[in-house]
Amino acid sequence: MKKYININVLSVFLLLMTSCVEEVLEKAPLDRYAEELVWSDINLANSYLNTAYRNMSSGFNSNLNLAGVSDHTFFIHIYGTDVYVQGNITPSNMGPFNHTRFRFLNWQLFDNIQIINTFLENIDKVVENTEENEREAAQIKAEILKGEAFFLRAFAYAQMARTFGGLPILTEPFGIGDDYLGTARGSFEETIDFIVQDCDNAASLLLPKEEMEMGRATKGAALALKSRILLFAASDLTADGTAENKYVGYENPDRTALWLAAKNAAKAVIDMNAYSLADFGAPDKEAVANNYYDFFQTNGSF
Amino acid sequence: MKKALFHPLFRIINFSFIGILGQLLMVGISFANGEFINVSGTVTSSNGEQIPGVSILVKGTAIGTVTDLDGTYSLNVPNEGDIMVFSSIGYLTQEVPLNGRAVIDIIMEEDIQGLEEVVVVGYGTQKKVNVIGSVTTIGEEELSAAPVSTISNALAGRLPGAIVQQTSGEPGNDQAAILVRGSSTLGNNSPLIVIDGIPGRDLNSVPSNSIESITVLKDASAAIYGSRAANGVILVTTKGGLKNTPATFKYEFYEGFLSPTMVPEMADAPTYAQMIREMQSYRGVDEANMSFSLEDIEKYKAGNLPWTHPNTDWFDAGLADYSRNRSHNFSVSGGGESINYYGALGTQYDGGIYSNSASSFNRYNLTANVDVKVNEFLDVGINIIASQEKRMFPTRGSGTVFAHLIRGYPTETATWPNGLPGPDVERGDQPLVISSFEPGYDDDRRYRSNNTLSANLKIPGVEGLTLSSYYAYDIYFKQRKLFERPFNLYHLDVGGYLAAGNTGSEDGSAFLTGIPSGQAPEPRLRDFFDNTITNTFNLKLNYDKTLNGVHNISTFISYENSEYTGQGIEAFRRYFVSDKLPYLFAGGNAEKDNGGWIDIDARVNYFGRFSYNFKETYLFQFSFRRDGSLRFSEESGRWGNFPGVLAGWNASNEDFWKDNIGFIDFFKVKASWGKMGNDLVNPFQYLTSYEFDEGTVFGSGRNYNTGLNLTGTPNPFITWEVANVYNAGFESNFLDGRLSLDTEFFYERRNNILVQRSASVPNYTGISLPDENFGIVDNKGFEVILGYNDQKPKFSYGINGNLAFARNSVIEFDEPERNVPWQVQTGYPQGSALLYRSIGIFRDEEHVNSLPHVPGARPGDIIIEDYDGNGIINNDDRTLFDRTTNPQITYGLSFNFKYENWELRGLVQGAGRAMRLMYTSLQGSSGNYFQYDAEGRWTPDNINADKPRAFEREEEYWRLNFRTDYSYHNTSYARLKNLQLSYTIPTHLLEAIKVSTARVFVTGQNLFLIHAGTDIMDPELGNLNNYPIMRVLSFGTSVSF
Repeated sequence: MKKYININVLSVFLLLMTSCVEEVLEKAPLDRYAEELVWSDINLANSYLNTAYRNMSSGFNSNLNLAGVSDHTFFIHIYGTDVYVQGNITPSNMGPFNHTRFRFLNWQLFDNIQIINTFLENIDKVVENTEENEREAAQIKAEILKGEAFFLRAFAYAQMARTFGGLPILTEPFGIGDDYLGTARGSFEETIDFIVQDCDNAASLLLPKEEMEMGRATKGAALALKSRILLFAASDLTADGTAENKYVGYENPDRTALWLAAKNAAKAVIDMNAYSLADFGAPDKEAVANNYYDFFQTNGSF
Repeated sequence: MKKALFHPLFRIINFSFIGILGQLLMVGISFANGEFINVSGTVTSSNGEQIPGVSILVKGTAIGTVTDLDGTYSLNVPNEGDIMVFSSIGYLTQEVPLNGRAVIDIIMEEDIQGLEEVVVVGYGTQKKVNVIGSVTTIGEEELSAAPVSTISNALAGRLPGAIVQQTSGEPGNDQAAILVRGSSTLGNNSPLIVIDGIPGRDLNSVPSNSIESITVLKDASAAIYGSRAANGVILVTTKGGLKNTPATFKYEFYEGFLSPTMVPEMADAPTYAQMIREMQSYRGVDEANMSFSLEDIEKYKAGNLPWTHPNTDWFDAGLADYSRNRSHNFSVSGGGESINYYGALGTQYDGGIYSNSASSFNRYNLTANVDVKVNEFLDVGINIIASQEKRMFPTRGSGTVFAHLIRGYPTETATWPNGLPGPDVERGDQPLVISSFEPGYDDDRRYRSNNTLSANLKIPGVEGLTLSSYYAYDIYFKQRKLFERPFNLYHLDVGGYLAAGNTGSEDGSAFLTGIPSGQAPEPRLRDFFDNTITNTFNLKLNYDKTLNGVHNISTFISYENSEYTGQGIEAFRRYFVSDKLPYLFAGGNAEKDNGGWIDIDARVNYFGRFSYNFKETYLFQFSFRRDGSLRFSEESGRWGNFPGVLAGWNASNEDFWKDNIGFIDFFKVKASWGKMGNDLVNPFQYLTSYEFDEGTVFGSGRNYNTGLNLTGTPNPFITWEVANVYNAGFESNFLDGRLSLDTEFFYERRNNILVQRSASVPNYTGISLPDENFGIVDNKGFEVILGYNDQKPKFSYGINGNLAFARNSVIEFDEPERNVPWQVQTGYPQGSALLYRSIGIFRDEEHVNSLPHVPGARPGDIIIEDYDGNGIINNDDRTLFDRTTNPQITYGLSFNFKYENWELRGLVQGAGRAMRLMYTSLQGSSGNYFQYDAEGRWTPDNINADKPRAFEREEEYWRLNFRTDYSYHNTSYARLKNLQLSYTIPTHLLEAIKVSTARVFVTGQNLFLIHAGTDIMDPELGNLNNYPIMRVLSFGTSVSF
């Protein structure tokens, strides 16, 4: 009898031995989504693009702003502003311009471009991977999201183009092992053209303001960004023919064409008849102008 | 009858020290009056040789003698019924009742036990003489000597090669950090904790009373733990019962008084005001705009104007003179023919040192070990280690409290003369208030139940073959409640107060305004619930055999797997109408918030060990382990193989040794190599996956829309760190075992350390490279253990010292090219600081101009060495300092003296070759100075100073941008870590109350610093803002019946 029990115990052990094996290792993490999942669900893809929105940064919501790198103020938490103010900026010490609180105009916007390019590379897969009965709705949503992504990329490029001039033109995400150094810096002209092209793509996909959720890119916003960057590009700073090289401005600018492009872009926004200058409740245009002037002139009014 | 026994027992324990002394005195008198009987005899060994030096003691008395060279003795014994105790090192102690005899000849039996002593090694035990790894063990006596709640704090100085640093003294957070042989990786250096065979359990929730031994595996002997072994393994074994032993009940108690070993000495009000004046004068502030006038300084000195010119010592005001700790532990152990058991219940209390303290720690422990012999072949065991811990903290962490005790202006009031709290420096952080229950509390409760069911089956028919298995189910549950509410701090309207004709000494209560302060404008609550479950299953086939009486084989193969799941939720509500009900339902509906988390882990392991020795003289061991971890990808990196080889030679067993160098009783040489892993890295780095990000706000609502972001850049090849550990050494005993000397040398090369390549990817790619397995760190050092233990008739003593040295150097971490060769960190220890070198203080303007200096330097500033001699002070003048916060040298010296019933045990412990940044940025106009900065500072009247001038925050170049080694202090120290004086009450006094042994003791922990490298704080403390390390003075008792 005793022996019998022992043999039973032994066989239970052996059973456990053969069944336990290595199944416990076959597990995926539970606190994150696998890549395939994100690119087969339009809602998850949308959430990924939300991060690109977040990374835009406004420059208004942090305690370090541009006044901190001017002679007007002394920024008490410093954050490297002293390096700039004292004229000690070097390529290896960018002072405040490496600070995350200045990411709305510094190279950290390239992180966002990588996110946007990853999104653009994968968004078409989402529609393919969506179940047939939901595919059409996903397709419509994907097109709008794509438009938003083009706008966000144009916005990031516009911010950096105004700070640095010409930039590498990136339309695909980088991966591990790519030839990173093979990417050349684009000229100022190429960069502006790229921004304009993204704005046009965005405008063609995006809906007017009334049909978009507040806070998202709209058709009007895409056209306005185009107008703004073209106006900047046509200005004396970059288009008066004195640019040192092709990276900081136009080398042989056709000034008329540039002004015309800027004008047409502005006109396109105006012609939407969706936007007008705010009158802040003033009776006439002159009063508006005066109010605006006073706003900045009156001492201690804010 | 039994009930009645407890009464006198407790009287003795708690109140009757004087009574005991009285009784002792009476015993002494009775001896003096008695008639003595002369007893004599000869003591021989089992082979007939006479043994000299055997001590003979009449039990329960101070009467004793020692045998002469012929092994004979003669002694006067008071009573016919007395018992004589014969003892000598290397022999079993014998107790012989006199029974009226006058001649007693004794044959002493050799103490095989010493040779048979076994040591817990991973997945089994080995005879100590046959252990060939680098293994250190400490037992019950050392563990129970320290009146501390966390066992890690009882280990410092006792485990050679383990660096044990207590970085905080906060109740519930005062556990020491342990490093085995220093740090060998740029990643996580935590050793693996194994409690009763189960890896990964929490060391500090087990009370010292329940622990039988702690063993540290430092070399290839740890390789049996494979991928988790590289940082060393600490094995904890809880107590069990012995078969066929009557039940023994044991009660242990102590109560202690705690006070800080050292707190920073801060400048007083006149000194502070004077330094601010100096600082302002250097900055060109004119007299009219100075923060303090000369008259103010006089008033601070006078000290009679508490309303306007207080002189506050914040540490004195914020900390009580002492706090308390207390421990009760009740245990029972024993066994019969087929069952043996140990059970214990204990409580621990640690109080907080704040003058109005919200801090405390309470723990309840349950330990139960039961082994049942089911039949001739099968044994079954149940092992339960459970604890309930309650940590009560103020809402603000101790770091904030101590930062503000340091920062507090001595010229401000801590508590107004009418008892109301004074103002804060900022954010409501008035240290006296934020350390109390006034702003709410942080109530943290943790529950653990570690349960193991085990079975051991001797396979019938095959001698020596056993199959054993265990299954462990460990549950951990944590519940935390952070409840915050606003409170008032009182500010004095100085203008109004003075205008009313007051001078500063009159009551100003009418001019105090209460200002609502703190982090919470209204009562609010955050609740956390977390739980984790770990399963471990093990199956092991063991075979032990001795062939021809000379070939001893012990071998096993084993399979083990473990799974872990942890998850938790948190919820938040604010706008409580009242602060009386701290539960979520009582909160307002607006701005409710909640969150959660989940985490998993799993491992599968196959391993085995083969041990062989020939006549216990030639020793050999091989172990092999194959580990799989879900942290790494199945395609590459998941599986790793970890072999270990150990060899040893008990040279003293050889005939030539016995014939020629017999004075060395025992000599063993040993060497080992092992390959081990460290898998303490973030899991799933091989996967491309998307995790939650804060998201962004859309629409008219104020809510965030969920964002997703890539979890870093994946590296599909990621795997564990690999350590190759070499160890060699010897163990020896001299002088009949009285003197022992052990020495070990080790060398470890850690490969595959996860490092991010800096040889970089341009920023415009927007990607950051993943961690890759290519970092290398070397670590080498030695340990020496020297001990002398002896036993005389009435007196025994032992002194045991150990010294360990470990120094690591980084061999590879993809270091970027440095401007100058002396800044190359490769080859230096991890964490070496790159600093300017301070070489003095500028005396005057002329001195400044005579040396290269930082632009703007003025007299009183620190002189920075122009290391490269190029005439300017720039980045190239920084050099590496090879000392870090981890000491390279650690040592301990323990001693014990036993005279009759008295015993004194002690431990001196220390560390050397370490340094730490002793610095706090907010000094000057935003916080007080250290007295260290005040004493001997440069002033226009003291230009030959060795400390710099009064400074403002981080605005002096040497405070931040050109930080020098001046800001770092040597943190070497030596302290009297532990001292315990105990008295064992004579047995015959206890017989009447049926107590078998009783001991009373007084203990001091962290008694004083013999040497400290810095004057500012206790050198062992982790950070200036940490809760100080405590000195404990305690008394207690231990009673068995």
